[in-house]
Amino acid sequence: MAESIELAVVGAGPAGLAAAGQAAELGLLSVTLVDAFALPGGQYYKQTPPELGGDAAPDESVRQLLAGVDQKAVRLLAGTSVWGLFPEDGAYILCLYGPPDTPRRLRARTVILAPGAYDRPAPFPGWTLPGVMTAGAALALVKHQHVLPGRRILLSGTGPLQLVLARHLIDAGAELAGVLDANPFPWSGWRHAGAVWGQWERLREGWESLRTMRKAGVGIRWSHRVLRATGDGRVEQAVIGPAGGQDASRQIAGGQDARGLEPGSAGETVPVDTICLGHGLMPAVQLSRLAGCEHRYQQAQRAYVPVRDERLQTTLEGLFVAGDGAGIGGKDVALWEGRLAALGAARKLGRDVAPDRVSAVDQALADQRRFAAVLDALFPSSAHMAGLLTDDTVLCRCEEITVGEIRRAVDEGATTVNAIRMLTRAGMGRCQGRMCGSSVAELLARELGQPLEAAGQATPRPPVVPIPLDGLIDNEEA
Amino acid sequence: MSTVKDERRLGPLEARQPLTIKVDGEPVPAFAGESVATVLLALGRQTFRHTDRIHAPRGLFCGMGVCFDCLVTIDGIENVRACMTPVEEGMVIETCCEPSAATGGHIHG
Repeated sequence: MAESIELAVVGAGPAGLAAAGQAAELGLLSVTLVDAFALPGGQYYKQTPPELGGDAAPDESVRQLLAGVDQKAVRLLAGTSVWGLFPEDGAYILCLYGPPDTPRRLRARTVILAPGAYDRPAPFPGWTLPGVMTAGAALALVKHQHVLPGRRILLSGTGPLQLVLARHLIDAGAELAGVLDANPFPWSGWRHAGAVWGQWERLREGWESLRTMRKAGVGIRWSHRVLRATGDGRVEQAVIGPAGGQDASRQIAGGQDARGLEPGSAGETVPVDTICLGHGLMPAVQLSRLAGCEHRYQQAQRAYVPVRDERLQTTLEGLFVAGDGAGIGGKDVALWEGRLAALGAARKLGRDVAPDRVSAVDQALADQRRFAAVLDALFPSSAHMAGLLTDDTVLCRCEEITVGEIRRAVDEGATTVNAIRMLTRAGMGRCQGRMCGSSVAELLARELGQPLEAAGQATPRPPVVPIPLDGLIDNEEA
Repeated sequence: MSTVKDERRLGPLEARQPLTIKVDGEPVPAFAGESVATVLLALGRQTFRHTDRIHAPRGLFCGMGVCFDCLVTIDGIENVRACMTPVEEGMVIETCCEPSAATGGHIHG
């Protein structure tokens, strides 16, 4: 028999920590927070290991969130993967794999998914070379592992996140070979003054990053990106150039998303040992998809996200999603969504929740969403550079399926991510399509002139993360 | 090991706890709290393995356990994610420079 609990929260980033803390405060019983990492915090509140001089809780807001987990009757299962989530008789079965004493199954009456996001893969010829990594990877290395990913580093992507990375790398003594933003300079920023008003903490962070960059003589090259990378066994040169038409990133439908760009586009060659890619984030929807709730394509996100009501409940009763896993909104949206989802779960479990509590959270959430929408408008997820991809570019990193193989499958009639997977194995590897799914959809859109959403979503299969075979066996039932 | 001149590690190393580990048979510097990926990158090693199908070099990519590119062999167990695994005293790490005979989907870490 699986252990029965009132609430399971999956993911200990901002949304999950806020949800678990709020749920415990509301008096929910047996709140269990499951997280894949050794230390809670997720990506945004990632903690530096104490052995590397990390303060367990670097600032007050994190201290409060972690205190909510430590003291208020929340059980934390760290280093534990959730590889399955299945509705069963008005509850949910969570399949876990973690350290030896971790329960293999939990039966939760309500579930809040707070899985967060991962860096949006942005393939180009040479992107599998060692030394090419995501901006998130580089930030975690320099900030929390106190190690430089390389000596001469090029940043290519969009938005404020890479400015934060640039500042940390400069402060750590790295030489920046350039900071490229695929979008044009955000001239239209003044139009959003109303939504930005009051967000002083964020404006200060942005300003400090720009100041550090200016002191180091590093400027941002707008409307530029890396076109390809070359090197013998690892990245040694990057070829950079214009990122396509001015409004390339706003062009949603297929075909014309990378105007002016084609394989072999001329560019400038820059010697580097590291390239960091920060082309926005992808919501991690694998568990919500596996559970079977409805997902809908969202243009602004260039991704399928779970459909939710105003209380953040999905189309499955008792299953809530909070934070970036339901569409990228950032840390503050995630914090408030976590709290709101906990209020919803409490109500679902029959607790009295004062209406003014909910409306206070609603108000705070609305302010944060307005700010998130500004960032979306100014720095849209860069258009995919499907136009740059040569036939020998590997698109599916796990199974090593090339663009050429996928184009051949398109010639054979494939129009969806699922069909491509069946014909080529792209998306069947260890990462379960997280690294290639969006790129396959972009390539299909370009090849067929169809909208991105027409490629559909890959059908998820358990386990949604690879686990050893013995992890599949339920010892308690065996 | 705290006196090692280190070009990639940031901050003072004196206060850190040095560990004795091996990478491909050679003893290398490592400190408690570091991930296996950090130890390799601090050595200037960007290539962690070669792929099965086309024998292409791979290293750290997503850094958060999603992409499964940074796989290495640790204490004889293949396909462990270097980015998610903290180093431990006595650990034996092998980076895979030849295609592995035993592949398939067997994943740890």
